[in-house]
Amino acid sequence: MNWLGEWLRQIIFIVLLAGIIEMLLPSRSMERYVKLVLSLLVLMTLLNPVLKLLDGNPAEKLQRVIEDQLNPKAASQSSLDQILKQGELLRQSSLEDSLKWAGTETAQQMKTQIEANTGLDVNRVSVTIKVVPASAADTDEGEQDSQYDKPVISHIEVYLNPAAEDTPVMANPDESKVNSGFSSDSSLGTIQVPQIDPVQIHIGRIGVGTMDNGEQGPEVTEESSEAGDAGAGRDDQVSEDGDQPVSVAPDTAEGSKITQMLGSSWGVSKDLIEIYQLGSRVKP
Amino acid sequence: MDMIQIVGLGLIAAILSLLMREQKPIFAFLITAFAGITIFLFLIGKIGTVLDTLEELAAASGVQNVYLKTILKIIGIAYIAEFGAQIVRDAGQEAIASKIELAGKVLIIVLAVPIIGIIIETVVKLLPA
Repeated sequence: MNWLGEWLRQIIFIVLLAGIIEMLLPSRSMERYVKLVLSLLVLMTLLNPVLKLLDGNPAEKLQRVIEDQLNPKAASQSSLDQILKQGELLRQSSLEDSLKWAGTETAQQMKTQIEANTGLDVNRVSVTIKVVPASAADTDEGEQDSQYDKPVISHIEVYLNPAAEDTPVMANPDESKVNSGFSSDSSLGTIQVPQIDPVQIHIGRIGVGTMDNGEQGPEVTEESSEAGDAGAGRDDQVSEDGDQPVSVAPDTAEGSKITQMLGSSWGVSKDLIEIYQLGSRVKP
Repeated sequence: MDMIQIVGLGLIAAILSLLMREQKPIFAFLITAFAGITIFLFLIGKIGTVLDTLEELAAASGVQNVYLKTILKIIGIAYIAEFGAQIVRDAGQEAIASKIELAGKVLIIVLAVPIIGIIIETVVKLLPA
């Protein structure tokens, strides 16, 4: 019954308004014409429910028609622009959806692959896929053949569940070496293949323990700042990493295994793969 | 108070214009036009408050904005056409005044055209083909 109340209110208001307007009118000569328009408006209000049943929103339609009438060129121009804009928005959103879908599918496959080949307990794999525009891809050395926008795996994050006391003992002493090695590798990588972000292979743990926490805290900030400088497209992931209580530390054996495997089977550069170890309660 | 001011202005303008008419008819017309414009501008402020109230009411009662806009446009056209026609008529150009009024009427009818169009469309849809 809500629409009935709305309808009645509109009718009452329009009729009142029409009365006031007739009083406001300056002279009798205009009266007939004004009365015609006012009565038409009252009629439209009366017919409003029927009109709504038949074709959407009559008021919007009326607005459109009136605007077209007042300035035909601008109206058509703006409507064309709007349509184009909407089309672009639709295209973007569908592209994003399909990219997201492809990312989750790829991540699923990678997860099963890693689990099957290495026997590690993988918590989750997140894959970011971005589209490289054709013009940008053409300028790159390797991909002159690409004429169209090309989806490229831009980032892979592998989160390992806490394993049974394997790697972490070795992780600490190797930190500085592996870090320096990776940073030099990253500069190399940016020179050779420009679209690729720097290498970061890490196994991290949530620092529950006192010693590890104190030592690895600074490492995390260094890594994240480095990553932020390196790739603009990865800012969101960097912030994500900041939010998550996953501490980052370089890995030795499993990490390289996983990266090699992913690199060979998916054709992804090692630079784009990051491996995290979720925090383990088991102290090494 | 406002009313007294307006009447006083009108009386003074009328007397001045009567005096001038003997010597220079063109100045008499100018005085009349000036008085008319002054009163009109004075009234515009008052009408503005009325229209503001109307808009608030419309927003409160949920009337479609288009309807109100159409109505306000009609008032504006009617006022301006009427005022212009009167000034020209004061100058003794009855023909031009009637043309101005005609223009006002046509513009008002033009505003009615889309509404008529929608109503007719609906009626046609309602009727069995």
